[in-house]
Amino acid sequence: MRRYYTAYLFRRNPLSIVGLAIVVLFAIVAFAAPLLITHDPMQPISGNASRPPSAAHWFGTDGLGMDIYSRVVWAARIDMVVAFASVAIAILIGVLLGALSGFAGGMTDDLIMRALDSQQAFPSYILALAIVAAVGQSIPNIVFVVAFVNYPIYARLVRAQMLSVKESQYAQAARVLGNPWWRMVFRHLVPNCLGPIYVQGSLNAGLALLLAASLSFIGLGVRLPTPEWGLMVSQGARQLVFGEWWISVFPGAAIFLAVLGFNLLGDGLADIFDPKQR
Amino acid sequence: MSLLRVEGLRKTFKVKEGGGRDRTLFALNGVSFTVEAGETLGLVGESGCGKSTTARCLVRLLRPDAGHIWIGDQDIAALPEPALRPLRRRLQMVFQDPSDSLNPRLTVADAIGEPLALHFQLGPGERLARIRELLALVGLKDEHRDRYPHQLSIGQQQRVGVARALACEPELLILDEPTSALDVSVRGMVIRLLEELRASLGITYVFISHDLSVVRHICHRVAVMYLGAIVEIGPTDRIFSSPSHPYTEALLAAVPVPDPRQRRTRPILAGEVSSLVDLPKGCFFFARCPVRIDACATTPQPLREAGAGHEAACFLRVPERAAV
Amino acid sequence: MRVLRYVSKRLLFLGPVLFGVVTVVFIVARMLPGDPVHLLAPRDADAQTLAVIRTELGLDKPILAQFARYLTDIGRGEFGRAIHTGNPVLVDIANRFPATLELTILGLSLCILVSIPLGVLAAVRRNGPLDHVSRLTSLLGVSMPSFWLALLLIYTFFFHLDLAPPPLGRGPIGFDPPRVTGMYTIDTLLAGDLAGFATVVHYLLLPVISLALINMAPLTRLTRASMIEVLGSDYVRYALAAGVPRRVVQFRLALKNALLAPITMIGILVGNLLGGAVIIETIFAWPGLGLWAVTAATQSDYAPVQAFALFAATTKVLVYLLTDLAYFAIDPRIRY
Repeated sequence: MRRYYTAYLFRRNPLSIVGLAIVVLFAIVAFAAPLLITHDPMQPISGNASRPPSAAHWFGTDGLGMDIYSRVVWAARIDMVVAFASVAIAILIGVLLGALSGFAGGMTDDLIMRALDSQQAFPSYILALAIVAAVGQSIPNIVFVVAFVNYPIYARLVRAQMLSVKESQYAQAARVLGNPWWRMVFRHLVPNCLGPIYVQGSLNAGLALLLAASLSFIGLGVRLPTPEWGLMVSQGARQLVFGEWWISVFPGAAIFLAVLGFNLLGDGLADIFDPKQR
Repeated sequence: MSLLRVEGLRKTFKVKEGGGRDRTLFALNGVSFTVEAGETLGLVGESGCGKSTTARCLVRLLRPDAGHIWIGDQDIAALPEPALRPLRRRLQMVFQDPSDSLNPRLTVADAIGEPLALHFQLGPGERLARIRELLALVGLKDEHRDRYPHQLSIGQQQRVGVARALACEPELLILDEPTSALDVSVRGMVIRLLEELRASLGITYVFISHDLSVVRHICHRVAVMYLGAIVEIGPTDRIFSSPSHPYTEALLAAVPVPDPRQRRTRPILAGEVSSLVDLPKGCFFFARCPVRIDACATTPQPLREAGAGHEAACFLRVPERAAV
Repeated sequence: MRVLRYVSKRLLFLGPVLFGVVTVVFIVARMLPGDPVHLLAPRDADAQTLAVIRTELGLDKPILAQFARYLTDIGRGEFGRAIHTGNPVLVDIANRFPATLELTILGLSLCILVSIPLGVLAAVRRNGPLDHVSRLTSLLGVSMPSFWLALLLIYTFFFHLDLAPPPLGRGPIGFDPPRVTGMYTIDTLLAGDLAGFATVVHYLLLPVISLALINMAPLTRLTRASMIEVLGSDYVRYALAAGVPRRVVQFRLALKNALLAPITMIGILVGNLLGGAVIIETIFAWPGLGLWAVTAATQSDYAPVQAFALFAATTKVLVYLLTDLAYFAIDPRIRY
C-alpha cells in the first residue's frame, strides 16, 4: 500500500495534496531563503520606515525600515524549524513515556497518567506562557516549551496503542522466542504503535506553529530584530489602526497558509488511517 | 526420562465483577501429563476448558500458580524471566492466528532470523544459509524472504510461523490450534507439512485443537480436558474406539458424521458447563453427565488407570482395581 | 442515590488533579533553570535584599519544606503581590476578573448561537451551498491565527468602516460605570444608563466577535458531524419510514440526540477560554486577567503569572467536571 500512498491520498482527499504542496513550498522557501530575499532581513534602512508595498519593497517596509518581503521569507526558517523541531521533540518524549506507561502498567502507568492529567489541566497556551516567563525567551526554549505542552497527546496515543499491541500474538511470539524486554519494546512493540503518531504529528505541527507565533506575538517569544511571523504581526498591530495594513497582513498570511497546509495534510492522513472519521 | 513432564499445574485469574468485586477464576486445576520424545500429544476440549492456558503456561507466557514443568531435568514453572530466556529455545509455539502472530514490520527473513540471532552465534553468511534452509523446509520459496507478512497468503504466513519456531531448534513444539484460522483447503496443506517435519526432524508436538478428526489423524496420544483438568488421557485409537469417560463419549458423539443414514449411538450433552469461578465439589462433569449418580456430586474424581497407558477420571466407568 | 455516588466519586478525583496542578506550577516556578528569587523579587534588588527575600520565602530550606510552605500559602490564599500593579494578587484578580468574564461569556454565547444552528443546517442540507460555505470557513477558521483575525477585524471595522471603536479597552478614557458586578453591561443597566450601555456594547463588539470566531470552527464541525451521524441512524430512518414528517424528525427527534457531542465540545471550549482571552485582551487592551498576566510575564513579575496559571487550570478542571455532570444528567445511557 505504501508505494501507492500519494495516488491514494489524492483520490480520497485532493485537499490533502494541496496541503502537502503548501508544506513543501514553505520548506523550500526556508531552505532557499538566501536566494529568495531582496534585502538584508535584519538591516533597517534609515528614512525608509513604514512604506507601503512598491516595486522596490514588494510587501512594503516595517516601522524600523526593514524589508517585509525578505523578513517574511527569512522567518520561514525560524517558524518551520520551530514547528518541526518542537513536534519531533514532543513525539520523542511522548513515545518514550507512553510506551513506558503502557508496557509497564501498574503503578508506573498510574503515576505517568496522573502527571499527564495534571499537566493537561492547564490550557496549553497558558502553561506555555507560564513556562516561558520562568525559563526566559530564546528560540531553543520556545522549541522545548512548545514540545512540552504538546507531548501528552502523543504519550496518550502511544499508550493506548501499546495496550493493544502488547496483547497481540506477535508480541507473545517475540517473548516465547526469547527476546529480552528492551528488544521486545523497541523492535516489536513501539514500531507498531506509531501509526496514529504520523497523523497527529501533521495536525500538531500547525498547532505548534500557531503556539510559537502567539508567544512571539504577545512578546514572550523570539525577539527583534530576528524575523518571526508572530513577532512581525505584533510589530504592525499598533500601526494597523492608522491604516498601515501591510506590516501585519503579510506575515499573518504566511502563518495562516503554513498552518492551513499542515492541517489539510493532517486531515488527509487521518482519513487514510481512520476512514471511519469521515 | 520423558521429554516433558507436567505435574499438578494450577492457574487462577482475577476477574472484575460488575459490583467492583474481584473473583477468582480457576483456569487450571491440577493438570499433569508427560510427553515422550518423538511423539505427538493431542490436547482437546471445548473452548474455555484450559487447553490454551496450558499451552501458555508451558511456554511461560503465563506463570503457573503451582505445579512443575520439567523439560529434561529443568523445572521452568517458576523460573524468573532472565534465567528462563536461554531455555525458551527448547520449547517453542506456533500460534493460532497467523495474521496476528507475525510482526507486520518485519520481513520474513527478519522474522526467521531473529531467533537465530538470539540463540546462535552465526556469521551473516551462515545465518542467510540457515534462513534459506528453513524456508525450504517449510515449503516457501527463496523469493519470499524479503516479503512482509501482509504480502503473503494466510497459509504462507503460518509456514513462516512454523519456520520461525523451528529456527530455535526446539525439542518440543506446541501447536496452539494452528489450523483453526485457516480455510479447509489450506488446513490440509499445513497438517501435511507438520507431519513431514515430524518425520524428517523427529520433532515432538503438543497439538492443541478442538478439531477431533485432525487430532485423530495426527496424534499418538490424546488428553481430553474439561473445566481445567484432564478427564481422560490415552493412546489415540483407544480414546476414539473405546472412550472411558462420559465426557469423551459425548465429545466424540458431537463430531459430524458424513453419512446421514448412520444413527448416532452416543449421547448428546444437555445442561450448562459449570462455572470456573464456582468449581463443583465432586466430579467436574456432574452437571452435564448422562450417567451420573448422587455420589458423583460429592466425590472428587482423580484419574484412574483404565488400561495400558490409558487413564480416565470416572469411578463409574473405571472401577478401582484390586491392588496388584 | 446513584447520582450522589457518582458526584462524590468525581469530587474525590478532583483532589489529586488539583494537587497535581499545584505541583506543576511549583515545579515550573522553582525547579527550572534560574534562581526563583530573581523571579519573585524586584529586578533591581541588591544582594542583601535578595538574601532577605530568600530567607523570607524559605528558599534556603530543602525543596520539600518549600513545597509544604507553598501549599500552606495557597491554602491561606496568599499568592504574593503583583509588582507591576503593586496590589496583592487576589485583589487584582477580584478587580479584573469581571472584565474577562463578561468578554468570555458573551464571546462564547455568540459562538454557540451561531455555530450550532449553522452545523445543524449544514447537516440537514448536506452538500448544499450552506454546507459548503460552512465547511470551507471551518477549515480556514482552524488555521487562522486568532491575533491576525482580530487585527483584520480592527482594520476593516475600525479603520475603514468606522463601525467599531478603537481597540483601547472597555470604553473611552474616563468611562467608569458605578461598580456593582464589575461587568459593565450589567452595571450600566442597573444604573439605568442606556447611553452608557450602548457605549459598552460598542466597545465589546469586536473583541466578542473575535473570540466567537476563533472558537466557531471546531464547534460547527462537530455539530455537523454529530447531526449527520444521528440523521443516518436506524431510529431516524424508522421514524421517517413510519411517516413522521421530516421536519419533526429532523428538529425534534434528531436534534436532541445530536446535541450531546457538542456539549462536550462546549465544555472543552469553556475550559480553554482563558487561553484565548489572553490574546484577545492583549490586542484590545482589555483590562482583564489575560492582559494582566501577559504584562506581568513580560516584566518578569512571576507571582501573577503563577496565580493566573493556577486559576486557569482550576477553572478548566471544574468546567470539565460540570460538563461530565451535565452529560450524566442528560444522557440516560450513561451509568457509572
